[in-house]
Amino acid sequence: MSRIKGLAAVSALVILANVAADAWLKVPIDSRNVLQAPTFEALLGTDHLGRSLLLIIPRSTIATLADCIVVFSIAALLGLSAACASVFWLGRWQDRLVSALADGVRSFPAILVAMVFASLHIPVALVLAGIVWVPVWRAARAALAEQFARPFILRAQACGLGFSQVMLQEALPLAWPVILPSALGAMAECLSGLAVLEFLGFGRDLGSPGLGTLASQVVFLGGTAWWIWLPPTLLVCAIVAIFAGEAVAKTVKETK
Amino acid sequence: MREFIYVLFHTAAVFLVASALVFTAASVQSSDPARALAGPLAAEAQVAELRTQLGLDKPAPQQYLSWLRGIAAGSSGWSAFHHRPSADVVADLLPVSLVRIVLALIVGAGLGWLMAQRLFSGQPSFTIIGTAWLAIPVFSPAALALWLMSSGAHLTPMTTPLWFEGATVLIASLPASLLVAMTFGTRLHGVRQLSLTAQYLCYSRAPVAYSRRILLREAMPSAASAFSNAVIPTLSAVTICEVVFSLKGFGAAFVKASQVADVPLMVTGLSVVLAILAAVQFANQLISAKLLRRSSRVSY
Repeated sequence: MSRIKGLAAVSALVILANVAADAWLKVPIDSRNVLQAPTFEALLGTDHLGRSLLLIIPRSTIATLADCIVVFSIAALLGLSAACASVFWLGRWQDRLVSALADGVRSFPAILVAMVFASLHIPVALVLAGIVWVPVWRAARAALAEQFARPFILRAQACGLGFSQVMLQEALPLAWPVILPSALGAMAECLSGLAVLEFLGFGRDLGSPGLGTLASQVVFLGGTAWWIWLPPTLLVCAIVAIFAGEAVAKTVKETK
Repeated sequence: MREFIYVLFHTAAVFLVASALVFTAASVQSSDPARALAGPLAAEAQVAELRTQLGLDKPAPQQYLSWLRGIAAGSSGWSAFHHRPSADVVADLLPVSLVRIVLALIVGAGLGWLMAQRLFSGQPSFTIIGTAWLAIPVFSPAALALWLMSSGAHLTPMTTPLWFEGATVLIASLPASLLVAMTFGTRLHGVRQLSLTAQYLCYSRAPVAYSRRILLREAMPSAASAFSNAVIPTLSAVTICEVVFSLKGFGAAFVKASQVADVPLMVTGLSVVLAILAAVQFANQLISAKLLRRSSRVSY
């Protein structure tokens, strides 16, 4: 049931993102009401182009979440593929190579590296996915290796069941509860990373801003016009805190 | 010695791969850095001259090799944005940021120690709150602080730079303090159980002082590791604070260099930061090993 709910939520988000992409053009620009504080006419105020933030903030949220799903999907795919490869060659040089690569990626200051690559016009989604796959790989590798050491899986392999069959039918479904918290943590990291990069000027621009782009207005406005950047900043914090809190709650539950 | 060679080798390998990737990416990018630096109004001849001057007309492998040769000879390339050698820019600005990072870590460690002793006891609820706090984007506390200062105290970065320096250090110390506190918190929970047993067994030997000694000796190796782990989030936080508060420093210069694709400055800055992180990692390994040896000699 929860899988169906998740799938429905992702589909709804993708549809909304598509609708939002068109709707950016339909947000009316009003040069007479620039940087207007919240009033009854404009409930959340207006931005530097006179656009109503009541219209912009939901669109920015959807755009950021849609970007986040793209980054997370790439990172999860990379992490799970690398984990399968590591378990297949467990303890051999291929596994050690992936481990060294993961250690190398994590020993870098992620934001500085992401800025360097984003500045060279490499898509931000790819840059972030290249950093975020590590926690997914780490959790998946440990959980899958544990499953592959279980007697019934060893017996199934001895009876001639192939690695991929065992992986897809037995190991991955059993390891999923352990991988899920790390995946949620990675989702929080994706969202946080995207917001920070947008805040620093990499990613979406003010034409179709994400939440980080809106939050970055605090620098240009010197802390004034709070209605432009404060709600997006709090929104990012709330969404990230929900994902991260859920990840830790699941880990604690799993440990008990 | 073995650890030192391992860290050195690991850092060198990562540095070579990362710098090669940066140069490759720079060579395949669609935009022209020479045009970006010369400006949209510059004549094509001027742009071509700048391109030759910066060595951008050569193939990427040749650019990379000549840059590596320059590094070996002690020259790190010309920062076209700052019109100075990139090593000079890094040497000028990095100490300023390093002071902020060290101060933030010291404040963070102090706050972390207090929080660990008073608040945290390894309870899941605290761990959940701490992790959620650590996960939130690093710009949020800085943005809120700027707002509070500008709206409440009517301060701006231009009028009161010292206030903002102090604010930067405090804000930048938050992730560090939480990391230290969370590591301490988890560790202290175990140590407290141990000290209770020790007090029961050794009640005649001034139990309070005894438990403090256990606490320090058991928790210190974790503290060293937490301190080392806190360096990278603190570096990010200091970078963001420098951008938000318009402060002069390495972080702000690095962001600007990334925005204008100043490759020599980016690669030099990144390699210096990498070297510092490797040194911190090595020092952490040494200190942790020493503290662990000391704590293993204590009998309860």
